[in-house]
Amino acid sequence: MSDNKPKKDEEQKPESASPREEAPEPETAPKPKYEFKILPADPKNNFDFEDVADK
Amino acid sequence: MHGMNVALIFPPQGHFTQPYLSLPSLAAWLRQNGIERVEQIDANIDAYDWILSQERLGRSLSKLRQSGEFERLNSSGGLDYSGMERYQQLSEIELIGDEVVAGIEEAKRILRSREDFYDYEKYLWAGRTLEQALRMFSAEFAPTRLTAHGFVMRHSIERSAEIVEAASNRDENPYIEYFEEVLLPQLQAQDPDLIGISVTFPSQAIPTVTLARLIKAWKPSVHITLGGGLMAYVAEKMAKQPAIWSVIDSFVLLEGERPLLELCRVVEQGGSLDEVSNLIYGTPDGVVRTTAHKEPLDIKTIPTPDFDGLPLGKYFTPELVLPVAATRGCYWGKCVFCTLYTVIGPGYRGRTIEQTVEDLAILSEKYNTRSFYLAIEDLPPNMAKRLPEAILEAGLDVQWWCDARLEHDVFDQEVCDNLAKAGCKRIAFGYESSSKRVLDKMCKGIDPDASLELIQRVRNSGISVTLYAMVGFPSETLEEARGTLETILKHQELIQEVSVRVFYLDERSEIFKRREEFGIVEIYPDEESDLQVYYDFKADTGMSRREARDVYLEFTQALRSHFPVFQNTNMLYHELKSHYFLYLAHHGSFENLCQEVLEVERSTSISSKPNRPRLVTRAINFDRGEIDATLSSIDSRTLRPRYQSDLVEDEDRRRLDAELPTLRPTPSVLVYDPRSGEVRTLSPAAATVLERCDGQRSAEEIVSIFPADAHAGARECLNELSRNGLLTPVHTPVQ
Repeated sequence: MSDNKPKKDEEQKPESASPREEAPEPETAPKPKYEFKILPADPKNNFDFEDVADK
Repeated sequence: MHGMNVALIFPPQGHFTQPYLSLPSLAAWLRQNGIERVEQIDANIDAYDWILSQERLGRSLSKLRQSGEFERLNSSGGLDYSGMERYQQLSEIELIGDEVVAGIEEAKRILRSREDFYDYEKYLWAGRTLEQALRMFSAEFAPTRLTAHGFVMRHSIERSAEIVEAASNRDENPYIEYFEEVLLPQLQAQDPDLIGISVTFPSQAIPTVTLARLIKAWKPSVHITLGGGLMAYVAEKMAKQPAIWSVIDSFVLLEGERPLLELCRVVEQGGSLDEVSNLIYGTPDGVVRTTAHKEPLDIKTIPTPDFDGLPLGKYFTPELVLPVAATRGCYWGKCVFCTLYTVIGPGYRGRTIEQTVEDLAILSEKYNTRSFYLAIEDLPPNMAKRLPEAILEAGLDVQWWCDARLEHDVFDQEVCDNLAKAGCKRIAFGYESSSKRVLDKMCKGIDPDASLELIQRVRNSGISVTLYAMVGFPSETLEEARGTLETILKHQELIQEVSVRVFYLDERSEIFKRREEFGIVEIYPDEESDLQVYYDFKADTGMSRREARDVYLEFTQALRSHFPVFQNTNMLYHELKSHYFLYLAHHGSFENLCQEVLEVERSTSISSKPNRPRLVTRAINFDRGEIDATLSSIDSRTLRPRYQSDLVEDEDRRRLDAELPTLRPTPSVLVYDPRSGEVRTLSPAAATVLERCDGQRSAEEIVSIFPADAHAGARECLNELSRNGLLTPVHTPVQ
């Protein structure tokens, strides 16, 4: 996976989830809720039928 | 008139898949009448080609990066509505800008390649890359938006003062730069005496005035005349604005052949513009004059359109699709909402069947193409019956499409079969409504049940059916509009495409003139909009305008979820006109097109050691999923409708900025797949799963870093990644 940022060497760091979720939680803290969301990020889906029909 | 030097220009913005017919018709007529120097300039396709180039897009990317705007937004503590809108644009550019710049020339090559255009994976990548490129270019001129289908600025095209203001707004009007760098030098080299600009679409209004202003600054003596469909609509209103007369010299009303030739004579030989028919012009002492009206030409006397000089290799299609007009006007001419007669004619005229076949033969031979669009309002009954035989007798190998009326007595099975044999691939019918009551009010003269039988016969012959539908006609009830949608969905197997729109009250229409009869009790003119032609209104029965808009949105949602051409990632309809037609013709039938292209399932098997392909990712500080959801929830239901533009009005923007809760930072990860061109937003946890899909770890190892109660979610995430095409497809059985 390429990235615009300098690449981290994932083999050398301890396996963990993403930065937002990786901090070890104190025992009293609520469990982190892992959201596995994948959404299209393509504004083309918003095209207007009328706009297209005009030409 | 051998010395006469004329430039005919089709200005941006129109569609980019085929040339428009106005210039070739006028050029053929002028050339036939002795004017040898007639240059045709399709500034629309030229501009798209120039914008969508590595060099120009590279400039956009550099400017946007140098501004540091994305970094500022990304490190801010919260985003209001305007911030979200800009963040949506800039985060995409941050992710894919380099890929788009690097890929744009290849994307255009694919769309123009006879081999690669029909490779649907390549086609989709190319189409997406073009759209992303247009978004990136638009971001440089925000809030201006240039897409494959439209060009809008925040300046209203219903107000001449705003059009004039837009024409010199260098920060937001991208065409100033294009005209200065490309078109103006081209015109200076030609040095024409007369420039005719053909303005058909509202999206051409601002670019037209922009261009005229620059031309006049260069050469005040050149005569600039504006004609075309839009001018037939608004020229009289524009003519009342003194500011317009500093950049143009005249308006040609209705069909251009006769007046333009007369204008050439006057410009060359001197004389009074009063000698030119169907013209509005301004005199030096500030008086505006309208000359005598003459009937349009008998189109049997005009030559075959002449496309010589147009940049025919630049259109974004693998083969030329040429427009041909066998008729002008509508032989029915009774629908009360229609305003065609204000733009064409007046009156209905046709070429003979023999002339039409000859036009097809000449153009096919001369431009080495077999694809045509019969640019007519409706296929007349005699032509529906006799054109196929004439095409076959002439031995023409052509493929074409057209619009037609639902003539129940004309389209019997034999006629439909013959049309298909003669190369007709697609017919678009004005269905409008499934309610007989509404159709009768519209004066459509058709029966909805008989229409369905007709459509069945067209489908039997293998021709693709497109229906035009309309919601919100005065007195139409919500139930009637929903009935139209239900009927269309129920007969979905007969219908391939639907083009739906909301009814607009147009001041040139019959219904506007007789509006009391149709229960229209109030209209709402905007006093500042001197070019207004559409009016918001209130009717005493039926749906409100708001309800009509709501049911339109229901309609479009249902179409997206039920019709193959509108579903998923399919872009053929979206990419307009010629692309769907060419794919249809290439695959032989709609059924083949579905089976071979539109409904092919992606492999979703997951390897024992899931692997990701090369992807481009970017971790960002705000949740793009949340931003996309918020922005797409703000549609025309919550905004004031604005004619020909989905841009948000300043007043609405201020309200939304104040009222919407500020979005606080929540990280997400954008992922771009360079094979498909698709962009997705992943939550950080989903991005972690994807990152661990390196071909070395098993599924269990991938999910193992999450707590046990999240394992099920992480495994499902693997499936979802696969369904989204973000994992390398499995070709061998799982071990």
